[in-house]
Amino acid sequence: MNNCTKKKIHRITFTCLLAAWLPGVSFILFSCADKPDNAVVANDSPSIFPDYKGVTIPVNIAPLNFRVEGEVKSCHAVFAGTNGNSFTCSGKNNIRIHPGKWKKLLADNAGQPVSVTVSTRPANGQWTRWQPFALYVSSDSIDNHLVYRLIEPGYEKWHITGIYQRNLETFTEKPIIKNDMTDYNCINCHSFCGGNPQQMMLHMRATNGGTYIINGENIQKLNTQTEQTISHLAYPFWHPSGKYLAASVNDIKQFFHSVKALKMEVFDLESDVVVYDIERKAILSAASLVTKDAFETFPAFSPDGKSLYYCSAPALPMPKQYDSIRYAIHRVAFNDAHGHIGPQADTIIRNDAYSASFPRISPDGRFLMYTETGYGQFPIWHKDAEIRMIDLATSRPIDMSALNSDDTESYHSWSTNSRWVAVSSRRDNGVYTLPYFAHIDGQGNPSKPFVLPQEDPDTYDYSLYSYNLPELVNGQVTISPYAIRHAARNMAAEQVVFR
Amino acid sequence: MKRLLSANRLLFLFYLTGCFLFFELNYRYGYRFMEQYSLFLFRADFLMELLGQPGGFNEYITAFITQFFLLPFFAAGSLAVLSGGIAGFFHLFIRRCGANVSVMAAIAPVFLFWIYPAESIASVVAALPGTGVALGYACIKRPVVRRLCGFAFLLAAYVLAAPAHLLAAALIVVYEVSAGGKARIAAAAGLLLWGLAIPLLAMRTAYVLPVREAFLGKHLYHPEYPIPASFGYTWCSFPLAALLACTLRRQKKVFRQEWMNAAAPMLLLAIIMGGLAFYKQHPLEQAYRYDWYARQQQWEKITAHAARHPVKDKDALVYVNLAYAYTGRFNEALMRIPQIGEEGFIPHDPKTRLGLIEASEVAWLVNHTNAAQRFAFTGVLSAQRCVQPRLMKRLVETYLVNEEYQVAGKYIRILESSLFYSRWAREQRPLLNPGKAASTDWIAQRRRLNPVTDNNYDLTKALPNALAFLIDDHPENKRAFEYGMGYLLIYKDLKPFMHYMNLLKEKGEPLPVLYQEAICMYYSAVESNPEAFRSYAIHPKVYGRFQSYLKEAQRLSPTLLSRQYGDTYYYYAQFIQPPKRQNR
Repeated sequence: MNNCTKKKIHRITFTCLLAAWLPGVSFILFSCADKPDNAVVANDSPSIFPDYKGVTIPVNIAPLNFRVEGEVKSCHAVFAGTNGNSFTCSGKNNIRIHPGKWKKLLADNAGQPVSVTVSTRPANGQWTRWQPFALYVSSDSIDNHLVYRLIEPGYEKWHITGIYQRNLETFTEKPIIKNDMTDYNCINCHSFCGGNPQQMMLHMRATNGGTYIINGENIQKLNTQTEQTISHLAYPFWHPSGKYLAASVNDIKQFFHSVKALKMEVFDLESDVVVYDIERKAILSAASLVTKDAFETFPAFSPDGKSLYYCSAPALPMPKQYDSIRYAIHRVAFNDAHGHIGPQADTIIRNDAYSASFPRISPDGRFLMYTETGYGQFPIWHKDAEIRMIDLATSRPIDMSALNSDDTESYHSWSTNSRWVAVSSRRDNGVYTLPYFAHIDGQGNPSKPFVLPQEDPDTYDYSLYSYNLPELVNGQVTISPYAIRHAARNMAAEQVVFR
Repeated sequence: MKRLLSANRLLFLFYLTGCFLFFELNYRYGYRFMEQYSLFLFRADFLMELLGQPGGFNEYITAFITQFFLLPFFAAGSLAVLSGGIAGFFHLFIRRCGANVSVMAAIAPVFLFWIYPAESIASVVAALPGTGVALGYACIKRPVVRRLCGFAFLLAAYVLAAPAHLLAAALIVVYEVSAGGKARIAAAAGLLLWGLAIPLLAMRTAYVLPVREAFLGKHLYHPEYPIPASFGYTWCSFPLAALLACTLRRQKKVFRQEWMNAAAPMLLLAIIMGGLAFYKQHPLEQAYRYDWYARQQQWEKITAHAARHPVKDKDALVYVNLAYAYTGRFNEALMRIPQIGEEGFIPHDPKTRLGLIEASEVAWLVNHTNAAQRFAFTGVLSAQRCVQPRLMKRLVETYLVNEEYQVAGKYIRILESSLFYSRWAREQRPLLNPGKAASTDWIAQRRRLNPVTDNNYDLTKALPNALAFLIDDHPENKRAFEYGMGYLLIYKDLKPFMHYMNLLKEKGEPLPVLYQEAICMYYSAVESNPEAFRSYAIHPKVYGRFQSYLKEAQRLSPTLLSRQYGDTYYYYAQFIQPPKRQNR
C-alpha cells in the first residue's frame, strides 16, 4: 500500500468518525440551548414517573431521576433548595440528575424542602411551566444498602433468581449470589443480624440445598431438617446477639384460584417456630413453639433480644378453610443466656377480624410494624394487604394510610436508626413488587413513600422482575459470590440436632 | 488455479442453494416457532444490557435476525447466508494456511449445523466472527503485528461474541502450528492460553458469572440445560478440518486435480439431495406448523392439513382439537380423529415450551382466563431468554379481561418497542381505558363467561373437574361444554354425560349428532327407559343409522363395520378401548 492510498484511507476514516460524532455533539449543544423561555404557566403539577411529588427523602439517597408523562418532546427541571444551591436539568422526556450536584443539594438542604419546577414542551409546541412540587429532605439518613431477591413474580416456576445488593447512595447494584451459579436452584429468605451486612443467612433449595450462615468471610452450610421438625428452617430472624436464629418450619402448599379477583394462595398444612443455636448447631426444644393445635410462623426477636414475637393461628383443615384462618401476633419472653422461652405468651395483635404477618420491631424497640390481610399469612397475592403499626409503649395503633396503597403492601424492614422502612409494594401495576421507602418520624407517622430510584426512569417499565424481601443493611455485603458458590457446590451440609 | 476458483464458486453456489432448500423444506415452522423465544427491542438500553455480558453483541445480532423469522423464507435465507459466510471465511482461512483445497473442505464442518439444528441460531451467529477473526489474523503478514492483533482480536471476540474467541483461538493455533517453527508454536501457545484465560479473568474482574456462562456466553444454549454434545462436534470440526487440510497439503496427491474438480460438485449435490430427500423433519415439525397457524388464527388451515396428513403426536393433536373447536366442528370431528384422551385435549402438567403454549391456548379457548394467564406467565419464564412475545400478547389479553390495566400496559409498552409486535400493541393501548375495554366485544364476551365460582382445580391436572365448574357457572360457554362432553365421551363416562344432556334438553337446545348417538347408545346399553329416550329430540336419520348398526354389527366383518360406522359414537363405545386416565 503506497502513502497516497494510506492518506486516502486516513481521510475517509476521519470523515466517517466526524460524521458519526457530529449529530451527537450538535444534539447535546442544541438540547442544552433549548430552555423554557416564555413558558405558559399551568395550574397543575406535572405528571411524573416515579411519583416523587411531595415525598420525604433521606439525605443520602441517590438522585431521583424521573420521566415526565404525556406528549413531551423536551423537558427541563429546576431544583432549588430552601437553603440555596440550585441547578437545572434538561432532557427529552426524562430528567437525569447529575449525582454530584444532587449530593450537594441534599447536603445543603438537610431538614428542608427542595422545590422542583418542571417545564415541558411537546413537539413543535410551546413550553409549559408546571406548578413546582417539593421533595422534603430528611436529615435522617437511611442504611446505605438494600438487599433483595430479584425473581419473576411467577407462579410455580422460578427461572433466573438472585440476591442482589443495591447501594442506595448511588445506582450500583451487585449480586450477592445468583442461582445461575448454583445450578438454577431456589435461593431465598436472606436475613441479616440487625442490619449488619457481614452477618447474614440464606437458604438454597433443591440442588445444593441447605441453610447458609455467613459471618464475615466464614460460611456454614447446614441441613436443618430434623426428625422432630416439620421441615428445614424457613422464615428466619436473627437474635440481636447473633447467637440464635428464630425460624419457622412449615409444610408449605399452594393452589391457584379461578376467579379474576384472586390469583394464588400459599398456605401451611402445619407450621411451628423454632430457635436455632448457631454455636451449638442445635435447634432448642426449650425455645421452640411446637404445637399440633396451632400454626406458628414468622418469628421476630425484639431489638433487646428479650422477647420473641411470632404469628399464630388455630390449626384448621387446609386448604378447605384457607380463607378462614387468621393469624394473631404473640410475644413470649426469651432468655438469651440459656436459650429458652417463657411459659406464657401475650397476644399483641388479635386475629378477630384480620390476619397479621411479618411482625418487625423498630430497632429502638418502640414500634411493631406488621402486614394485615383478610386471612392467611402469605399476603403478597392479597390486594387487601396493608402495613399496620402499633406503638408498643401504649399499644396505640398508628395511622399508616400515607404509606399504604390500593394494592398489596407486604414485606417490610427497618433502617437501623428506626427512621426509615423499606416496604414491598405492588402499587405500580399489581403484579411486580417494587421496594418503596417511607420516613417514620418520632411519633411513628409515615411519610408518602417513594420507589427505589433508578438511573433510567424507564427501568421498571421493562423489568420483568419483582424485588422480593427488601432488607435494609448498614453497609456493603462483602462476601464474594464465588465463595458462596464454592460453599454451595463443595461443602457438605452439616446436620443440625434437635435438643 | 483459475479453474479451481470457478469450480469453488460453483460449489459454493450449490451449497448456498442446498442450504436454503434444506432449512426451508425441513424446518420452516421450527424456525418460526423459534422466533417467539426472542424479543428484539429497539431501545438503547436493550443493547447496553446485552453489551454488559460476554457475547452480548452476538446475542443482540441473534435477536435481531431471529425477529425476521416470521417472514417467509427469511430463516432459511439467513441460515444459508450465515453458514455460507462461515464456509467462505473458513475456506479463505484454510488457503491462508497454505492448503489449496476445494471449498468442499470448508463446507464439510458447516454441514454439522444441518445435522444438529439448535434451539437458537446463536451458535451459528457466533461461528461467523470466530472464523472471521481467525481469517483476519491470518491476513496480517508481519508476525509481531499479527500476534499483537491476535491478543486484541481474541479479547474483542470474547466481549462481543463469546464463544467466538475459542473458535478463533483454536484456528489461530492451527495457522501458526501448521507453519512450523519454535516462535510460531510459542505464539500459538500464548494465544491459546490467552483465549482460555480471558473468561477466567473476566469472571474475576468485570463480571460475576458461572464458569459456563463466562466461557460460552449466557444464551448460546438454554442456560438451565446441559450444553449439547453437538456444540463440541460442530465447533471442534473447524480446527480439525483445518488441521487435516494443512497436513494433507504436503502429501503426494493421490487423485488428479481434474478428477477432484469433477467429483466435488457431484459429491456436494449428492449430499444436498440426500439431505433434502432422506433427512427426517424435526419430529415436532407438524406441531410447529399447527402452532404457527394457531398464532395466525388460521384454524381452517390446521383442520385442512390434519385431514390430509395423519396427526403425528399429542402436541399436534391438541392443536387439531383446538382448531375443530374454533371452527365449530369439534363434535363432528371427535370420532374421526384418533383420540388419546385427556392429553389430546390439553397437556398434562405442562413443562415444555410447546406444552405451556398449548395449555394457555386451551384455557383461553374454554374461557378460563386465570389459567390462560398462568400458563402464559410460566411459558414466558420457561423461555431461554425469559421473554416470549406471543405469550406476552396473551398476558395483555388476560389482564385486559381481568381489568388489570396497569400490568397490561406494562407488557404493551414492552411489545411496542419491538418491530413485529408493536402494531398489535399499539392497537391494544386504547383498551387500557376501562370504558373502551368494557365496550369492546371480545373483552365483554370473555368477561361474561369468566368463572364466578372459585375452585382450585388445575385445568391440566383435573380437566373434567375444572371444566365442570366452568360449565356450571356458564352453561352457555359452548367451548368448555364441548370439551367437557368430549372428555366424558372419550372415557365412556355416559352417566355424567347424560346429566348434561338433561340440562340441554331442559333448555330445548338442539343436540349435535355425536350427542344423539351417545344417547342412543346409553339407552340401548346402560339404561332401558324408552320414555326417557323418547324425550330427547333424536333425528330419525341418526336413530335409523343406529338401528341398522345394531342389526349389522354381528353380520359385517370388522373392516366393513369400521368403514361404515367408524365415525359413530356407538362404534367407538363398543369397539375402541378408552384411553388410560391420568393419575390424579
